[in-house]
Amino acid sequence: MTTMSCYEGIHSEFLNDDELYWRAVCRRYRPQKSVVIEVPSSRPMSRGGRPVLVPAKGYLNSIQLDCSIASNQWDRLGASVPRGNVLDHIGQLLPKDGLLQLVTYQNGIQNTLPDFLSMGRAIIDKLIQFYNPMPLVIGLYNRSSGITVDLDRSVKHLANQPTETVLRTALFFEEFARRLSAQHPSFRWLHIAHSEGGAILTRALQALEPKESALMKKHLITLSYGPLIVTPGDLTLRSKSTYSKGDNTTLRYAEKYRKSGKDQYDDQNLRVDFVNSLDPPKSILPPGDHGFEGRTYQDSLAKNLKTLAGNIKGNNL
Amino acid sequence: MSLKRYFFFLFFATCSCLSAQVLRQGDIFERQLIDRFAEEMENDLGLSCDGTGGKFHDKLEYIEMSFNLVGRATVNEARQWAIYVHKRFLDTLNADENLRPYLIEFPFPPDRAGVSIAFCNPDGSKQSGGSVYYISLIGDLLSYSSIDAFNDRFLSLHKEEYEDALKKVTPGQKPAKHQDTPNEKTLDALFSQFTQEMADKQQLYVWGIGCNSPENLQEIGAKFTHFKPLHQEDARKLMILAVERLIGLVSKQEAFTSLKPEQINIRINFRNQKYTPYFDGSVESVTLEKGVLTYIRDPIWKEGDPFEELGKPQVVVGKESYQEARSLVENLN
Repeated sequence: MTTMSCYEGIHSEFLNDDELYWRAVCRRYRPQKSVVIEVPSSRPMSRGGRPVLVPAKGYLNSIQLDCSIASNQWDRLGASVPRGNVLDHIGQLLPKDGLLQLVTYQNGIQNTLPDFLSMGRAIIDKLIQFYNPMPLVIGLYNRSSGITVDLDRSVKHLANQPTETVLRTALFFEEFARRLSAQHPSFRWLHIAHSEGGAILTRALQALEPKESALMKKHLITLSYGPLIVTPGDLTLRSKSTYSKGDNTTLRYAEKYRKSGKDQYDDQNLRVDFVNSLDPPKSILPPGDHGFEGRTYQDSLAKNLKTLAGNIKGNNL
Repeated sequence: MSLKRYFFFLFFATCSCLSAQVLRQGDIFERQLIDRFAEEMENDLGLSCDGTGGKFHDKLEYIEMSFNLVGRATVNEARQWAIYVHKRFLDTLNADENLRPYLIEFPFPPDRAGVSIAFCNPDGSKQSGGSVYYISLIGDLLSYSSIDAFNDRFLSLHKEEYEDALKKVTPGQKPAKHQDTPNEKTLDALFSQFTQEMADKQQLYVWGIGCNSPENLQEIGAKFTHFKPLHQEDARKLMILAVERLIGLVSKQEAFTSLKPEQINIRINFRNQKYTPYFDGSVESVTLEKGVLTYIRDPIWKEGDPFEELGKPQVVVGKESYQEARSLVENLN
């Protein structure tokens, strides 16, 4: 898990088949895993009837990563937040009759913990407008290790080389999928990704075991904003990627989907929207209008969440 | 990062248009139809397409398109727009002989095609001056929403069944763009002057601004971002400056009766360039709501601190009436 050098052999062996390759990588490194999310027991989980996003600790065996969690179902667990693994209580935290049961999110490069927390707050602020009861929200922090390391990791995603971030995310996804399917056979799970988070999402989906991969195709909806890699729809129930036309960071990776000046590209595997920038950048240099919490992506997120709620109610998924 | 990887990254950045997608025939026809219809709507009605969606496995089961339109709309006007565009979309779908073999049923029924329209200002921001902002026709339901500019949240205005809506429109009648009333024009000019002044002089950048109704102005709501950390005193000063200027501008207009601070709701968020709060002890936001200023502060967090520290609750560091706040600012001056 911690040494990544042995990936090389697998890399050359399966390079021409994304799914086989990623699955092989994961299998080799899939540990005797225990996926745990713990919440500090002293934190208030709601304020004024609204769920509060609280920092949590995720563990993959002994490896720790920062997470965040919010749920307005905590009262089902009684007055105190349970010690130990929150995932053991996931059945009580999922809104059984909600439009969505779980929402996860992941940030891109060069984001601090405050950025990550703020991203989650922005998502919750949108969710409460259209989803009542509110789904369980879990954020998976993609830690920044400085611009050089972050860019290097992004290059690896593009080049389809393994990274620890992808592997961890895949293992968390597998655990979530298993837990959800055991509790709620017709669950709906939305994942929101920004920037590099979109690349991690795609690569992690390619790394899943067949059983969990099948669950994703049946239950997972993804919304990506300025993703480094557009998520193919055939890995999920429904996927959409949105780019601001003023995004100077990742729009270039989606330009190939813009057909001779047309702003929409649609086919079975890829759904990509190019939206007008509400904060047009003053130069062509990165980042431009790339921020998840800028007006453009927040406006699109609100519209997408509203439309998604309508489609779930109308049985159009 | 090695030099090799750096060049590899640059290579991807500049040459990312090389790969081609192999599409199945049905997908190609769907895509062609969407492109054609988007162009038609733009040329014919001034609608700009900003999103698509749908469900196409072996057959096209569901399809949706979303548009932006510059201008206001009343509920009646929004209904006419949605029904007309939806009808044209359905007609286009059903007339497409290439796509026909891929439709799950023919004729393609209304509830399998979704349409939504966002009514915007010329700069693309949300219409929130007494207008519908968003109408969606999904399945059998038309849903009308406006925007609460103070919180940037959707407000549900009205919902109705598709069949009921059909009875309220003139079939086939091309929708007309909303003709702004004199009050609406005055209000637009006022908001434009106010937000421009705030940006230029106070570095307060508008996120959204709106009111209850231009014909009977009783309440204005706005949300701003200031990209510098401020403490309570400076946040107070900024808020008072903004409110006094807005009240002054409204009072100059004969069309509107003067507003009191209690009729103005303003939120100022203090953010860095990534729109993240500072978490440094400065104010996260100041709001004026129902005549009361409230100052919120996030927990203090420094690089290297545990994530848990960020989970400490936000605190209200100050609450005062508008008059108290104004006196404090005047005394300072």
